[in-house]
Amino acid sequence: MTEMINCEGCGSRLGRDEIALNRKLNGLETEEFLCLECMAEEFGVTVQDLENKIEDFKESGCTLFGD
Amino acid sequence: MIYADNAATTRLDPAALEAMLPYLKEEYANPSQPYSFARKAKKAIAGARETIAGILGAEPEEIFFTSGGTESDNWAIKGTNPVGRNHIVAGAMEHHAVLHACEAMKRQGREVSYVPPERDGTILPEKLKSLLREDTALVTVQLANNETGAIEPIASLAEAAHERGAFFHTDAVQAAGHIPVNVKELGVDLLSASAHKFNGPKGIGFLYRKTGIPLLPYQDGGAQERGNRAGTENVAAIAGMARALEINAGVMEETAERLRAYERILLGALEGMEFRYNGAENHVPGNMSLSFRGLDGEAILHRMDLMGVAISTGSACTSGRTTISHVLKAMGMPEEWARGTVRVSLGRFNTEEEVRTIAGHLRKIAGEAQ
Repeated sequence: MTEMINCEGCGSRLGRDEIALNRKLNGLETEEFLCLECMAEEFGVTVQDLENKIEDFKESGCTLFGD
Repeated sequence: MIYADNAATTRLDPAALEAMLPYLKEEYANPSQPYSFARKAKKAIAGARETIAGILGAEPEEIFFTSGGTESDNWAIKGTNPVGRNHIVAGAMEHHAVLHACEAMKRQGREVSYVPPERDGTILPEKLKSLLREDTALVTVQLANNETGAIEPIASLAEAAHERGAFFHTDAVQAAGHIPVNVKELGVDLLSASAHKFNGPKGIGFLYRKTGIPLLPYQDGGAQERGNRAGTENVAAIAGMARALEINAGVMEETAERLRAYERILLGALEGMEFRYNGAENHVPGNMSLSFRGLDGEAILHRMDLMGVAISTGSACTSGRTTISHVLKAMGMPEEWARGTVRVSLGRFNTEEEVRTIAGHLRKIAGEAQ
């Protein structure tokens, strides 16, 4: 079941992949979560860069992902 | 993209590629054939064997071409089978090519002991001696560690093994082409190396076997490698490997000096942060294992990746569980430090500007998290 977490930047509800990506990029115990748009702005990358990362993690078999 | 994962693999040297091309294009003959078209391929193999042997202080007939470090390690461990000796000793920080080959030998009835390192990753000869037995067949300890770059006191360890009548193998995959490697000075019986770790092509390596050391053939088939390792030779890769080793050996001292200066730049940039530099004073230049307390090494790796820098980590998250590498565990590193470990391994093609960029990104990412 997907956790109920909202983006700290814009308040939008996060999907499972977004939550998983936050954990992958900020550490498993992170308590700060951002949506892809806000995260891209925070890290100075594109949303596509982050979506590519999500695909990489899924292809490697990481079960944190899976929307 | 800035590539700083040279302990994983290295960029192919353009001159090595040039050395390979004739054997991929015009000189494609099978070197085992007796006709004149095969002469150049045959000569390329013989020349490569001489070049590699010369750099290592070995004889050409002591060099056997393999598919890489993993095969060489497996051959050395599985092919050493002296009668009445059932025991193997391996370093606890060895590459999985060695550790898993030892596990395979255990399944076949051999006994295996693992010698633990000190906190800096080096193995004391006294600790090895305490594990040696009358029936020890083989001792295998890497020349340099793949995660920390720590260089082991191989000459002393080999001497200890020989005193008990055991053979000595060293996995020199991280060392060959980066630090001076002379088989006579090291006193080893068997030595593994892999071309892609020293700016050569992937899929090719070699095993040094001292003359007179009994070793079972690795695979059966044709008479290649004097009947010890069957299979048509990868002539292009063999030629590229020899050229790459020749080039790296020729610029080894100046490369090492430059990489040590880069290490100082990187460490200097991290001053004031809560981090540890892992590894021995005597290490492969450019190979730096760094731990940031309380951080997540894999998160640092992926953040660096998003900034265009390729590095490695000493811990990995597998579906939400963090696994600490066996190397960091063997060194006795506390988990809060081990989890935040990354490896920056610089190579011959890195520039000072790249190192300053890496340092800046690392400081930013780790600093924000701390």
